[in-house]
Amino acid sequence: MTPQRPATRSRPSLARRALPAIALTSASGFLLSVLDRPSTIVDAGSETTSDTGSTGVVSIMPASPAAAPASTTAATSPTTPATTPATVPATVATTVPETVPATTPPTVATTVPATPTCTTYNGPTISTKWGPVEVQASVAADGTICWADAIVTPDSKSKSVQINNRAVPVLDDRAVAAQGTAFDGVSGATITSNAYKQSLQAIIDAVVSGQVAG
Amino acid sequence: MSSRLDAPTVSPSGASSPRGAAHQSTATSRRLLPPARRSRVLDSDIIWGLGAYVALVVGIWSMHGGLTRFTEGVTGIATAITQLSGLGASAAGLVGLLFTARPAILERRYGLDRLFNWHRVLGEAMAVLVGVHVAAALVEWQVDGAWGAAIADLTGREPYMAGATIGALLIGIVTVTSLRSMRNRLSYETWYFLHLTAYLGFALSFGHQIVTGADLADDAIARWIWVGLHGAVAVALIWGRWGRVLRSVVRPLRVHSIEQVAPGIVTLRLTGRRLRSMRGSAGQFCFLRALTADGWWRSNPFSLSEAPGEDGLRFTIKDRGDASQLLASLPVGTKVAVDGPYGVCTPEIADGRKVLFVVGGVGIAPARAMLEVLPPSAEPVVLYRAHSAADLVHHDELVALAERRNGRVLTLVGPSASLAVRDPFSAHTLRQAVPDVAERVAVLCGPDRLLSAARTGLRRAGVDSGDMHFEHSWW
Ligand SMILES: Cc1cc2nc3c(=O)[nH]c(=O)nc-3n(C[C@H](O)[C@H](O)[C@H](O)COP(=O)(O)OP(=O)(O)OC[C@H]3O[C@@H](n4cnc5c(N)ncnc54)[C@H](O)[C@@H]3O)c2cc1C
Repeated sequence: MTPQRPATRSRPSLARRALPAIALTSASGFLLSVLDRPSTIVDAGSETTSDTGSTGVVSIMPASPAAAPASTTAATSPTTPATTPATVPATVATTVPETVPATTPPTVATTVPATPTCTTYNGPTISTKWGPVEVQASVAADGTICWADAIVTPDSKSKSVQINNRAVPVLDDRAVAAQGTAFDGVSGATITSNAYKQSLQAIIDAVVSGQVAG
Repeated sequence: MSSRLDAPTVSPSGASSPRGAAHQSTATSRRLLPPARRSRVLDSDIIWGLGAYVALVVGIWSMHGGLTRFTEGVTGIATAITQLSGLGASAAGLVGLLFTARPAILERRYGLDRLFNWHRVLGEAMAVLVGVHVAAALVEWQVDGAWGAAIADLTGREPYMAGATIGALLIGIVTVTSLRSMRNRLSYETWYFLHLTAYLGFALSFGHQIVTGADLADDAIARWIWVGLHGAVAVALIWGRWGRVLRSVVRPLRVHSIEQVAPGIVTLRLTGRRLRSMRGSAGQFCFLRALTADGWWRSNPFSLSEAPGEDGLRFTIKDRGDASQLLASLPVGTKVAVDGPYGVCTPEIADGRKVLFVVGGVGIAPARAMLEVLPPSAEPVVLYRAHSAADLVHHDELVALAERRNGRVLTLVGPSASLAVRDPFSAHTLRQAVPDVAERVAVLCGPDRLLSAARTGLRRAGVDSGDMHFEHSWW
């Protein structure tokens, strides 16, 4: 019979056994603090909106027309859609920015009549989790869409740019073909598609309800 | 009796021993615990449940692009694969975690050993899917070969992706340390504590599933289903895993006595009031956690070596390392937390048929307990393999219990090399020793090598593999 070993013999402690797991957990925490530096997309969106307001775009609140005087301005020729939010407002004439709450995206900016029958409008900037989307569309007084284009799309990620470069031309074509927003979004760009439709729909609503003159 | 001493032999043990008979008479007067409840779950329930689960996951995937993405070039295909492998990894991991919560309806039907093995399979599947997910996500995300930018985006510039990255790393580490070759180099507890970091990995990767994954981010219903599944598994784990530990610690049993029965082998008897509300059957095992300064943080499985009764639980413990030494040297009165019992290898499996036990070493414990409650119709035969005569434990008890049921105990002792028969578990030897072997239900307990040798031999001797019962090794 082997005698029992004395109980005082040193046994590997809990600390010794748990050390690798504790080290791994600490390393994870450290790595997390080093790696986690997400770019703040939502902020970019709201910045855009307030920029638009402060530079004095004509604004109409479709939800409460009384508060937003309709006003159109004939300006020169922005036939090339601007690519950044900042330059768009610069090309258009101004009134009453004060009526626009800085954080409220649905604004309609009217710009140049591109043809005798079509007027170009800027839709409201829609914030998405990837970034802001804003549609510019040329619409006749009867609601006919002459052309549409997204002038602001999420661009903080190379990935977003890639997706939108593919999706936006498709959406532009579909909007004209559908003469409205009843078209299929581009799969893989669902969020941009939905924001695109929202912005475009706001323009159509504003034109059809006569809040903005064609 | 003498035959068991001159190794190597396969010999029927001699006439009944007075000690065993004495034990038997005390055993019959004991009040046994009510048997473990049986689960009413059927295999078909499991298959339906799994089918519905897979359909749900694939459904969520196909509602958000799914197969249609395959028409959209490399990026589209990569997107589809990223989404499916991501959903699949989570789905597999959730079920894997559910198994470690030891839900009674599953444990009572399939046994903890199978649940743990399924946990392993699902964990490995999850690790592979995470690998596919990461690779596909990089392909999806990179633009014109700008891999650096894609990696930077996916490891931290995107919200919640740093957590996801670390989660994937942790799951990888946990998987690698669970591969047999790695695991054998770690002590059980070192491995176990590392394994717990998988919880952290799972939690860290949750954010990106909800925020970044197009399947869930844009679909409130799918998102809530997903959150609900995670919540349900979390509740099952807290209740089933940690709640059980807590309950065992709050109502511990106490060491009643410890007796040495062979070199390095003791019996440990635990008693306590909690036994009056416990259920359990012979053949089951419990996790024991000594509530002492150096024992509270680990629990080790040991089989009941006597049918569990209100007067106590008996375990037969062989000195294999720290934990077993600690348990073998506890002072009388020490608190021991008992989690269990678990296991489905119980006397009901006999189901009116004759029984054959093939046991090795300390694996005798569950066989000894089952013998006590088998009906005489079982006519039990015990094939008992041990390294030396001194290693045979509970031999006299076994002989007495077997003979009361018209059975017998055949011992086979000695190192393998010294045995007269080259393979003691060949079909030929088995048939000679137990002529009616093919009619019997076989119960196997012992080290892995013995189990695999015995299974092969029994199969060749005509025993259906459905009639072989044993604890699958899980460690
Ligand atoms: C279902 C089942 C029933 C068992 N019944 C008995 C029994 O009745 N009598 C008996 O003496 N032994 C039994 N064992 C084996 C017993 O659990 C181990 O011998 C014990 O855990 C060893 O721990 P240790 O710290 O003393 O040794 P260590 O040196 O830590 O380990 C020795 C070996 O035991 C195994 N082991 C250690 N810890 C665990 C754990 N928590 N879970 C599973 N395996 C572990 C490992 O394979 C390890 O290689 C049983 C094991 C299982 C799985």
